[in-house]
Amino acid sequence: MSVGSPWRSLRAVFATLRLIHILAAIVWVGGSIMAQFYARRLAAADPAHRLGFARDLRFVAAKVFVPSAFVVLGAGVWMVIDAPGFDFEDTFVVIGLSAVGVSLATALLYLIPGVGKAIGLMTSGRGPEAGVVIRRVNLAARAVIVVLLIAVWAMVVKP
Amino acid sequence: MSLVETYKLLHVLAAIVWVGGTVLALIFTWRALGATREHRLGLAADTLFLANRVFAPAAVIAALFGILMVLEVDAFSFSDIWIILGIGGLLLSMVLGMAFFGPQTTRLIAELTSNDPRAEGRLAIIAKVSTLDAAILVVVVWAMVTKPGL
Repeated sequence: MSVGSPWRSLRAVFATLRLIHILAAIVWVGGSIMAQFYARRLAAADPAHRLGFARDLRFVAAKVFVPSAFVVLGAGVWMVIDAPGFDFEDTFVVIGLSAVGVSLATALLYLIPGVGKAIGLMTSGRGPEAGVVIRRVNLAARAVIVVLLIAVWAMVVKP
Repeated sequence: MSLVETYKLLHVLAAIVWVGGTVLALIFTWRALGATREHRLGLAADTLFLANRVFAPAAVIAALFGILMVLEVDAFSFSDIWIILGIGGLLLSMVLGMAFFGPQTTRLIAELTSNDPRAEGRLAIIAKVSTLDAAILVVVVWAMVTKPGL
């Protein structure tokens, strides 16, 4: 084994973690933004499409966005531990961790249960009440997107 | 924030919307295979609308600021493998969007509206090509992040 091998191996681990971290962030943040664009089109939509979309959204949020968020968090923390240049006290790391924490908590405690409640109301024929719930959930989802965009800015610019 | 940092932020934000949105649309398309006709129709119309108003502009913005960065940063060159892969993938995805997804989704909407049974097969083909498109974009992201050859 050459002298440079362990260093090369560390760099390879870091590069892999960075790729995983970025791919998961793209799926989570980009998907959340695009979901909002889809949701904006529902105001004049057929009730069956609204119900189908709400089911799709709950599936994506629970089975894709939340796992992606945990992958972003796990790979990010691993990179900070592994890379000599990064520290948990760095501003961009603090912003990133806070943003992931707030977004994940909001998704798990409010957004996903909210969409579930709206689906229940829609299937029991209480469309107007479901509309009120969906509007609140959308508002919270937009706030989460703003938080995530701040995190993206911090990761790119590293203030 | 420096000029290059501004270019990089805009490039990254546009790429996030484009690639993340593509993955979301892919999941919606696969789920549409088991959905009601009304939901399929709504999704197809929404996706076609967003392709023209969000996906395509995001792709153009990502490409534009990527090119500006290559022009601005001395260490980057248009002959770098990772930049060739990035531009190649972007062009391939754009061609797929204009030559395949646009016309096929328009036909799908017409077939769903008239209850044409061919809609089922067309939706399945769109789902398969969407998977290929997402795979191309993942390769582009891999090239942009790992920068092979640099």
